[in-house]
Amino acid sequence: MIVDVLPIETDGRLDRVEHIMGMPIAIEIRDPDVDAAALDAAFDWFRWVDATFSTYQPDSEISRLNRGELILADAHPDVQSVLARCEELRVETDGYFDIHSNHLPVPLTAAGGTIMTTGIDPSGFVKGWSVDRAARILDAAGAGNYGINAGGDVVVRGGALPDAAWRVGIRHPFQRDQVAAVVTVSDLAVATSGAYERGEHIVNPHTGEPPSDVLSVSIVGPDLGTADAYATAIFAMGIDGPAWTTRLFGYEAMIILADRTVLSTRWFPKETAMGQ
Amino acid sequence: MTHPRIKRRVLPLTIATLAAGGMLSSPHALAAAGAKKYKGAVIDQGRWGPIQVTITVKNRKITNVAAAVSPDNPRSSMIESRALPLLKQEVLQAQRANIQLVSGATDTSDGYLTSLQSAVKKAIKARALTTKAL
Repeated sequence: MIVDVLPIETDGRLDRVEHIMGMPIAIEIRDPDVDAAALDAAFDWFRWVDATFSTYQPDSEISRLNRGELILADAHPDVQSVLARCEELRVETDGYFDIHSNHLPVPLTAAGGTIMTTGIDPSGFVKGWSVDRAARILDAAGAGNYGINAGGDVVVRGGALPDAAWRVGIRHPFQRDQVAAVVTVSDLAVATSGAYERGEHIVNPHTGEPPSDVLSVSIVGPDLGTADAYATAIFAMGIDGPAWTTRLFGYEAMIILADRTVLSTRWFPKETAMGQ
Repeated sequence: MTHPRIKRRVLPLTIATLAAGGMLSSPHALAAAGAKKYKGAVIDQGRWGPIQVTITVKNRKITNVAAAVSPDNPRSSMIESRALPLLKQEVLQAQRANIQLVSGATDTSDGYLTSLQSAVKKAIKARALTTKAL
């Protein structure tokens, strides 16, 4: 059996993978003349985001907010703007994207003792938002052709030189040796939510149950944080998700239903569909 | 924590592998003359535990790909028995489709790919494998 092609190291291009925020983050710069310091700056940024927003790190601002040790007005401006954006997205998605919905238990100490309460977990937005900001760091360093993949959420700029665009596969929901679709994109974000093996355990916040009608939702659009929130919300909506996509503006969706039907909005840049 | 710095040329490396046919999983196949193993980086996959991919190279071809995960983690052994054989296919299929990035990826597959990349890189440095342009 002849198979091809593993990505190989050689000249010129910059490519690095680090594990931050509990996931592999890969950056590949295809421009010939970008300083490696751009990668250092981008990964430093991701480490700062992790230290600030992680719900696993007790000293993060999010953990301190959840324990009542920090009030929002005293939090870092990025924390304030992220939480404000999460609230906008909660309202816009009828509560289907909700940073309160995963019932993160946190002890809240006040006069009279400690009680367990439900904390916020904005990581479903922070992941994509931090990639958008990392892209700006690379832009400022003069990069115009790069891809960033943070645990399956993707931002691309320019092309995978010498190609003029990037080819991004959408993972097949259960045939793991296949991709369900390929999108050819430049200057765009691609986010996918689904019942994949890792199990993001997305539940419908209104019922507490995971949706059973949908296998995955992919969103393309200008902003990865927003695309990621939409993908999560539409997945949580279950069978009502496809209808909700008519409300999207500037974002396109592809939804794979449990019966293997693939639904796409009109301008979703899909090149090949699964099962054909 | 490993931080592989992989400067990548676009090029595909054509690999003939017998692994999918099952021949190479037998011990005597691995003991064949000239076969050499290259270990990839150990990649921490968070809750999935560490993973390390080892490739076997003979006559400038990859003849086997094996992944080791932490044996005392029941979750990991589940992955090893069920998911990894599938993920191995997935790596090859995705590359065949000439895809640069995959949306909806998992910790496991990315750790696998990262470790695999570093093993191949090592084999190329040792001149056991070569690249050739498209």
